[in-house]
Amino acid sequence: MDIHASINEWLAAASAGGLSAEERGKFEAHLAGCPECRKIHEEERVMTAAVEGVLRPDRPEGDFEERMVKGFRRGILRKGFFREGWRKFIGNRVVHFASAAAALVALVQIGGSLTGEKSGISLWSAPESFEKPDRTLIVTACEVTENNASGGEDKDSGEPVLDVEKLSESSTRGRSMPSSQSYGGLAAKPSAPPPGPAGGARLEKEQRSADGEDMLREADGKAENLRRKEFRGDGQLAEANKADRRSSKKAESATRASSPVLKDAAAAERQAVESPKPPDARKVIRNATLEFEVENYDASVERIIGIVQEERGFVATTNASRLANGKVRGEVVVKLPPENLEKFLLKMRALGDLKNQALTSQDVTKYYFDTDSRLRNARKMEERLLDMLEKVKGKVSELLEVEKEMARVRGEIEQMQGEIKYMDAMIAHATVTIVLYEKDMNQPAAYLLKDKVNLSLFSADVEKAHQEAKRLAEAAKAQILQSNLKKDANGRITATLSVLVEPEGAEALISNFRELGRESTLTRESERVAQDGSGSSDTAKVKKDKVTINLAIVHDDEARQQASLTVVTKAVEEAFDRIKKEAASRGAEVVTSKLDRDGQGEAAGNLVIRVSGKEYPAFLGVAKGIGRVSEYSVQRRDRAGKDAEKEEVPVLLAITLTRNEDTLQWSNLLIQSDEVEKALAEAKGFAGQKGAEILSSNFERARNGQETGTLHVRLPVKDAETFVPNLKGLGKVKDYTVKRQDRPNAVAADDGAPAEISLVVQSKESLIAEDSGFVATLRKTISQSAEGVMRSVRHIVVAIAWLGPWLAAIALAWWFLRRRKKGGTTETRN
Amino acid sequence: MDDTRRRDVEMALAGDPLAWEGLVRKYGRLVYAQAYAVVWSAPDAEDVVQEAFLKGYASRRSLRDPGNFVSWMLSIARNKALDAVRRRKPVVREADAPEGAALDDREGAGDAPARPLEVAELREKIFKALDGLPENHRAVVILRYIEGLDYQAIREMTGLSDGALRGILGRALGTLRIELMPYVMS
Repeated sequence: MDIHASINEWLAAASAGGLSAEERGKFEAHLAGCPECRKIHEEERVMTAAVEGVLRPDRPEGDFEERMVKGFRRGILRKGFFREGWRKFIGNRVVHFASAAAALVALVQIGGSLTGEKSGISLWSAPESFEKPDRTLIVTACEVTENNASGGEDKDSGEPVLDVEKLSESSTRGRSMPSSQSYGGLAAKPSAPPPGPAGGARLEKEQRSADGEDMLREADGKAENLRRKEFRGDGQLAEANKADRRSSKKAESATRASSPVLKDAAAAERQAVESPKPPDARKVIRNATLEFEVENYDASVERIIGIVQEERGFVATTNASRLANGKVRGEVVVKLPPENLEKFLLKMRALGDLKNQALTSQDVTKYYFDTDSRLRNARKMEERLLDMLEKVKGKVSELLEVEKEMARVRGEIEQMQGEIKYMDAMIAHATVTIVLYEKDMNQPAAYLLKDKVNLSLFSADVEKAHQEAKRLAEAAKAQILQSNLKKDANGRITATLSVLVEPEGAEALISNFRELGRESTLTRESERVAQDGSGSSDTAKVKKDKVTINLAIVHDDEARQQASLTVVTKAVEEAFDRIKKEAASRGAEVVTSKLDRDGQGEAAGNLVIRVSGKEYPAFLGVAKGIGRVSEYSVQRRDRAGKDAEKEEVPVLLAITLTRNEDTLQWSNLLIQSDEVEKALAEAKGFAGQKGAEILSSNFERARNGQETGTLHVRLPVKDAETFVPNLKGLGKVKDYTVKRQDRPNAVAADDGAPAEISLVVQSKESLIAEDSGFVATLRKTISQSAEGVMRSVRHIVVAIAWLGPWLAAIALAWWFLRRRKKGGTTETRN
Repeated sequence: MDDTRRRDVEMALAGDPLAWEGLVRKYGRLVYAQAYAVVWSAPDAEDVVQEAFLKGYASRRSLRDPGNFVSWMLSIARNKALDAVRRRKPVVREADAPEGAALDDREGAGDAPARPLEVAELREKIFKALDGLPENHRAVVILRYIEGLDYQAIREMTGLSDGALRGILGRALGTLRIELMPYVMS
């Protein structure tokens, strides 16, 4: 309040217009009374005016605010556009969501790659590496032979040709084509391929040069003529050969002329193909084997010699052997220049029936040159070693070492030299092995006819007949092999006699024998045995060997019929007794009788009854009536003797009585029903009604709620036919099968035979199955998906763990920087 | 800060450019004064004002308490003004610089042609005198003497109480009297 003490303030306030009216009054009042303050006031006034005046230019203009605002707006627009848009973008929910999702995916990927597991979203998929099979064409620029069988596909398509080719052909007579030459585009040697019939055609096909074609066609035509001549027969052969030579020469020149063209074509083709060696340097070993069936061995050999000499070859070896039937078989090995091989083979065709042919072409070029270079190296090595030897002075051990090495190298050299020599020899000459054998080589020299006769007789007096037979045999000068007279326990006599008689007298003897008694059986056997050979032959002799006669004589009484009967009855023992009684009443003899009881207490009976022919039918009827006839057959019906009545022939009847019978028919029936137990009970009821035998019955309930009932019955077939429909009515028939057993000797229309029926009743499958069905599938799917989620979560966690430290470091740095910046700005407080 | 003002500031801080413009209008001169107190040049001071407000807008989120708006804004302005001074002459050793250089330093680019020596000298003296004032007072003084605002306007703008303002102005007057009277009277 003290104005004087705070005169500056009062002055400043006053000057700025900050005094209230009251305060101004006070102030001015004071000024009026204080000269000191009045002076200061004056100073202040001047100073203020000066300062204001001096600094007036720096006063902001009146529109200062507007300008500032305008400037602000401008500035905002420049920055703001960017910023606002950016802000909005950042703030956008969708963007948040999308970036969160992207971040998750990225994390999953990172985590996945960190843990090495596949995260399911594979952004990088390793391309499958295809491995195209390497197709390296190995071209042999030598002649390639092929034949019809293997076809020309190799050549046509220019496919790779293998180093070693083995082509074999089995041909039929006449139409054989040992080899057809084709040069394709790979002709190398300027040697003539004689255009054989088919070969020429093929050659034509494959020639790539027009010129060559023309010339070859001409040569081909000539070859046609030649062929025709050839087939006219041996006599013409010489002429044919000459013609052949002429035409082949022409063909040679033709191909020679054309072969440069061929060569060009070949070269052109080789451009696209690796050709490691120049054509002429190829080393090929050619071999062939032929097999002929000829008329005459020697003549054929001579022809071979002739042909091979024509082709500038020679016969290396021959050997032959003669067989027992006079036929000759042999082998001729010829050698000739490889280029002539085809011609030679062609010529050989006419030799005879070509049975087999094989051609091999072995390209040993690589091996040859390898060996050659190894050989050269070895030689150089030898030289070096020699040098070393000369240089070595004094040290004995060194000398020995060198010597040892030299010896080794020398050995190698010699071995390789040998190989090369051998190869040279093989290459220089093609080797053809010709096997010849004369026609019908396997024919037997002779046939032996062996006859055998079996005769059995009935005689009233066996001994007498037997004696007589022996006498007859001796009279016929037959050789008695065996003679026998047997008496068995029942006093029955059997006589046998085996003789060997000359063929001429055989028939007579046989008819004599037949007179001895009543003929039971007579059989003849004839065997033709080939001698020294096999197969058939028209020219072989047929010799008749001695005839064997086997004679058997039995007593008249032995004549009989023989039959067997099987009867099924439940009361076996009763039946057994009954038959015995019946037999006795009819005067029949019970030869054997047996009553068995098997392990299960089942009875079975066997009887053999001898009944006279007269009584037999009646007796049989009784026997059949005892039960159900299962089988009945007659084994023997001996003819009644000349004198005897048919009815007198006794019958031997074997009767089998049994309870059991094999099942004739099986049926399987599968029924679906909701009330399995009820159905099963009903079925049992039906079975009881029909008198069927219940073999087994069963009921069970499975884990999945399905019920199954089974019933096994046996009943006669005819009853089964009415029983089954009843069963079918128990539910829905799912399956029904019937099987019948084939029984020989069974009585026709065997309605009484047993049939077995197997019934299975099942309820529907449970809806909620254990292993399949909707719920299980759902469960599985959910669990799989959950697995996948867990996996992804794992990945995310791993990724975060990995990124975590980084982010932490970044955050720390940022925070740190912020702090520094914050510290730098001091807030101005007014 | 009273409620209306607070509300204005809040709106502006929320990003409403219009509200911000209002603030520009209201506090522009004060910011100018603050800037001028550092750069001692009108054009430069205006540039600083612009920059300061834009910067303030850009980093408005960093101001947590709207009540501190003025002081926050002024500190921004001060920083910007210092940047401007540094931009003029990056390496300035005011201790070594002779008075002539200081003079050049102070005059901003684009000034009017050289004034009469008296006036220029006086300006210098005034600046020097004002520099001697406490930092907080300078803007107020500038508002009074350069911008020519009256007592009430200053009070509104600065939010200072009556007594505080009187005290500041009074002290400033006293200093100026001592410093400048010799020159003025001559």
